[in-house]
Amino acid sequence: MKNIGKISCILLVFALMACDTDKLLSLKDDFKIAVTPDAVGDKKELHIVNALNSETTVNDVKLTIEGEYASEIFTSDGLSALKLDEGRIVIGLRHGITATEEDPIVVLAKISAEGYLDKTVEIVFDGTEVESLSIPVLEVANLPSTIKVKKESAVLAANKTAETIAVTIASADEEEALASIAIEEGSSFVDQDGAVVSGSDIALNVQSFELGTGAGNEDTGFSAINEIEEISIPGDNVLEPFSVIDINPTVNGKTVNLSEANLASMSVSVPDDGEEYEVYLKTPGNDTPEQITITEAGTGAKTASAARFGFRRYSFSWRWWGRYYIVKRIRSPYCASYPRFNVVNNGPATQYYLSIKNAQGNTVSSKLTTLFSGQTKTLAFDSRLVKNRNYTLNVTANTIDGKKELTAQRISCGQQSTVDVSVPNAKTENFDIEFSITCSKATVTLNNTVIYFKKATGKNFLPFGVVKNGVLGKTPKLEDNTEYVFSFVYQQKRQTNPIKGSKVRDIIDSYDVNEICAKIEDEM
Amino acid sequence: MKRKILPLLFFAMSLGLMAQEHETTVLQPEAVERVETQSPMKQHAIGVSAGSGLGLSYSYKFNESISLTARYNYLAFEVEDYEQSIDGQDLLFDVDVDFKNIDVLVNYHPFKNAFKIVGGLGYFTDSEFKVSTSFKESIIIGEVEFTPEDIGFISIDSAWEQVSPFVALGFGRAVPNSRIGFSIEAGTYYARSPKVGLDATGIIENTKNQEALLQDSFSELRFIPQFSFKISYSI
Repeated sequence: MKNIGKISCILLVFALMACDTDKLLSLKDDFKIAVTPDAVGDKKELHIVNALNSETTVNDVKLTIEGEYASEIFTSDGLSALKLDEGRIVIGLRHGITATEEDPIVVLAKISAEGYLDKTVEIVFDGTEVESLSIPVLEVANLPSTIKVKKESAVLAANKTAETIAVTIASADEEEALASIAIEEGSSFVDQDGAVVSGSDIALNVQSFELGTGAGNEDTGFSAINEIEEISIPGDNVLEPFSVIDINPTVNGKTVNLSEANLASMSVSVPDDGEEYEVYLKTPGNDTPEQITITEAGTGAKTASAARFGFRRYSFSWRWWGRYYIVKRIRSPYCASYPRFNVVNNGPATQYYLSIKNAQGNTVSSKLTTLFSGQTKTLAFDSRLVKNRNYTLNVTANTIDGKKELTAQRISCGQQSTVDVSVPNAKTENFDIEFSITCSKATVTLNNTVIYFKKATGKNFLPFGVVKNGVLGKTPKLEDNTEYVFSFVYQQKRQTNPIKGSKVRDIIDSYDVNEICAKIEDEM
Repeated sequence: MKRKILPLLFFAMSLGLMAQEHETTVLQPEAVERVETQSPMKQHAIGVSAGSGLGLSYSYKFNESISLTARYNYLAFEVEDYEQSIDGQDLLFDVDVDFKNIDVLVNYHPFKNAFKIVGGLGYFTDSEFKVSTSFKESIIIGEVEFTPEDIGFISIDSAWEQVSPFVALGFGRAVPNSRIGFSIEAGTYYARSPKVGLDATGIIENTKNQEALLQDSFSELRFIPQFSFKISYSI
């Protein structure tokens, strides 16, 4: 019996010695903490593009953010200085600031670049993890015929104009003067508070938009109508802009108004089509436009064979700087809400141009947007439709193999339908490369980062996919023997050398891991 | 080098038991007889124990070789802000252990002395081992500072199977012959690998991908050791 007890003890010891704790003990070395080096959430990948030519890079872009949350906007690598690289930058809300669809955060982005018209756009942060935004800017030297910029300068004598300053804007067909603006000799100027302004020179800056044709650019998302903010007045009538004249008089570079004692004059031309035309002034900071009293000042017959109508002129006095809308009053109400659609993409990441066109085929509103694979997005257009009028929603996909017209469907008021914009028969593959790099301080994983691509012979980068939690997922299928270039933005635009489709899975290996780690660890 | 604390402990115990067994057999038969004739066999006992937890037990003795014990054991403690470096980062760990179990055990005295082999089943109402870890210091990305709260937390939860067999060696009777008795016991539950969950928040959220590694590492923790020192009171 004693021996049985001894043998039992020894067997038990051997059994317990079979416990192998190697895996547990090596856990401390094998366990990797994955850090996503994003200082911001709700990322916006901004691409400032030439409005009429997507292949032209816009360089030296200056971007400033204004608004209550301006100080909470940083680049994805945590910098407050917003430096763009070839017109590209990724910005977002500082980590810890949360926006939602119900409670979005809106800021104004002011964009300027040498040789381009300044532009201000709203950027809405609503909790979307990452969004690719294309912002078209107009090149001054290459404006579309429907947009014109003019400036006339003169010296002031005793703070008054020594001579009449006049600017005339021709219509797109050059057949008549779209607008003629004049500041009379002896005019004086006041600031926003009404105090008389002193200065040595006066400049009359005028920008005009002629909206009848409604042309757009499917590559950049530019549409003249998108440059104009919609105006409305109480009641059930719609004000449809025919043209918009931006007037900005400056004395020694500062914006001024004319004094009450000496009003300036403007005459505008509209089609002689039997419609009611009116003029409204909208000044920044005022939601309600002010109607301007106008006087009919003559008519003219059509001279161009392509013109449908002759024209009528109206004249009026003005003194305030701002935006003058020459509108057609339509005695029908707007739809109660702005057009909204749920667009769904079950194919690979694709850039889409969506436009709403009226019965005449003119674009009344448009959007350029990117949907990633499996993404559903609610798109709200900025212009309301007129009740009982016919409109169509047109969708074009910009793919690496060219444009594909997807759908043109009739739409109506209050409609919020779901539109499937998946490109039919698009070939896809699952790109299971892990975008993680193991550095000495941590394992760094890319997250919410858009990868762009183009054929080596192509001009425009298009979305390839978005890296989420280190994985790219479904992407367009690459051709084995075609060379591609890939890019993404982190701190700056990063771009690969041309690489064949069959070799793309080695892409991570082509990067110098130590260099990337050093840069990332410097930031941490 | 493999660390085998547990087996060494048991090896030491085994040596002790072998020595104890030898000492036990020195008891004079006359003394045993005297005890037996002087008082009837006590069949019930309650006990309190301490060791790997605190316990309460009730035992019933069938005969000199076999007794049955029902036991409730409780082990719960927390450790906060334990500092450790993982993957080059200084981390703070909070550990929360919560083990509660009800055992039904058979005590077998093969030599009709104090030495016993214990076997039975344990039912774990709670068998949780939780670890929460956070960065000790802030990190800065660009101009944006991430406090440890912003960086996020990693939490690991592990739980073992509810019903587990138990085996132990011990010394001392569950129902002592005299009014008060002492016993010691060391053994283990065999609970199979625990189920491990890993969660992470903040900018270290992607650490969740390590769950499979963690599950694999914890797969070795099949045994839940248990030792106790008990005072019993026979009734």
